[in-house]
Amino acid sequence: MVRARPIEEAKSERARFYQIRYFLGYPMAASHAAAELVRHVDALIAPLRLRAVQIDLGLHDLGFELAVEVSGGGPRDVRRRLAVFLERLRHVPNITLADFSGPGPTTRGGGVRVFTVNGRAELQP
Amino acid sequence: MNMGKLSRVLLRVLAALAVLAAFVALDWYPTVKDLGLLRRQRGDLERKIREYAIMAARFNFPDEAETSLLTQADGELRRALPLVENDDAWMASARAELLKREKGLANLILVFGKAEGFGPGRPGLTAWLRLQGQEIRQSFEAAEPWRRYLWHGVFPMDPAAGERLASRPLGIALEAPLPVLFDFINRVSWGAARLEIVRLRLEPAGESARAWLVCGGSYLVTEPSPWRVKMEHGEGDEELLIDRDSPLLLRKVDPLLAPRVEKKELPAAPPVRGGTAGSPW
Repeated sequence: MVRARPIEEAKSERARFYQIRYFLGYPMAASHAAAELVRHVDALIAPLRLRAVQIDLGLHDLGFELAVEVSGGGPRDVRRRLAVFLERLRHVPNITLADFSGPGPTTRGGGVRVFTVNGRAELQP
Repeated sequence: MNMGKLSRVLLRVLAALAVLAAFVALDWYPTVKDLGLLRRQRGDLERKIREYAIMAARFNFPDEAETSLLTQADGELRRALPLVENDDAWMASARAELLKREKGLANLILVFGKAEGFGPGRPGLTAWLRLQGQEIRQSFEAAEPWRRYLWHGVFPMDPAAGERLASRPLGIALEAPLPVLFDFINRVSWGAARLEIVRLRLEPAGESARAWLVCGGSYLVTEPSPWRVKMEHGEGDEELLIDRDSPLLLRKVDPLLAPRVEKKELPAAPPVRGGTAGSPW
C-alpha cells in the first residue's frame, strides 16, 4: 500500500508521455497515410477507372471507400479484372482490409459498371 | 420373512435412496460445483497477486533523466497548441499559413469555416462542392468537439488560467493535377495549426482532380468559445487509452518506442501502368 500510490503516479506520467508523443505525431502521420493511400490506388487502378475516393481518419487507422468503374466486357471478364485490382490493393503496404461492399455493381449503365470497395489501412505514426 | 414385510422394507429403502438422490442433486452437487468455481477463482487471484508482486518488485521509479523527459513532453504539448484570442483568429491564422506554405496553389485553394461557407470561388469547384453539400455538412458535424474529440486523456483537466482548450472544423477544397493534390494532402498538417484530416474526398475532373477535406485543429483560446472542448467525453468517443497493466509502464519511458513523427515528402511518382500519363484515372 505504501508503494502503490507512487507507483500509480509514475505509471500515469509514463502513460501521459506516450499519449503526448502520439498526439504530436498524429496529424502528420494521418495526412501522410491518406496521401500515400490515394497515390497507391492511382498507381494500380488502370485499366479500371477510379470515380471517387473517400477517406475517413480514425485514431489508429483510416477507412476508405473507392468507387471503381469497369467498362465493357462480360460478367466473367469484369469479375476477373476486379479480382486482379483487389488482389493488388490488398498488397499495398498498411492496407489491412479491402473488399467489395456487395456482390454486384452499385450502379450500371451504358456498358459501365461501378463497384464500391471498402477497406481499412493503418496510420503507423 | 413374508412377502409383505419384504416389500415394505424394500419400499423404505427405495424411499431413502430417493431422498438421498434428491439431496445430492439439489444440494450436494451444486455446492461442490460452486466450491470448485471458488477454488479456481481464488487460484486465479493468487496467481495475479504473485505476478503483480513480481512486476512491482521490478518497478523502476523515474530517475532524473526520465523526469526530465516527462517534463519536456509536457512542454512540447504546451508549445504545440497555438494560443489565440478568439476562434476567428485561429481560423485566419490557419488559413494564412496554409496559403503561405502552398504559395503556388494559393489561387486554387478554398478555405471555409462552415459547411456552406465556400463562397463563389472557382465556378467548377464551387458547383461540385454544392453537390457534395450534405457530405461536407456531415463531416463538419463529425468534427465538432462535442461529437468527436480524440484527445481528452492527453490534456490536463485545467489549462492555465485564462486559457480554454478549443477545437473546430475547417474545410479546404481545391482542383489541381493529381500529383499536386497528393503532395497537398500530405502537407496539410505541417503548419502550426496541426490540422487533422477528418474526411477527404477526391474525384476526377477532366485532366485534373477535385478534392475537399474537412480538418480539425486544437488550440488555446483566451475568450469564451463555443468550440470549447469539454473535458468529459461523449458516448462512442474514441480514446487514446494506455493499458495501465502494461509492462511498458513499469520501466522507464523509451523515446524509441514512441519516435517523433517527422515531415515526410511522398516518394516520386511510380511509373504509370496502363492508362494515359497525366490523365487522372
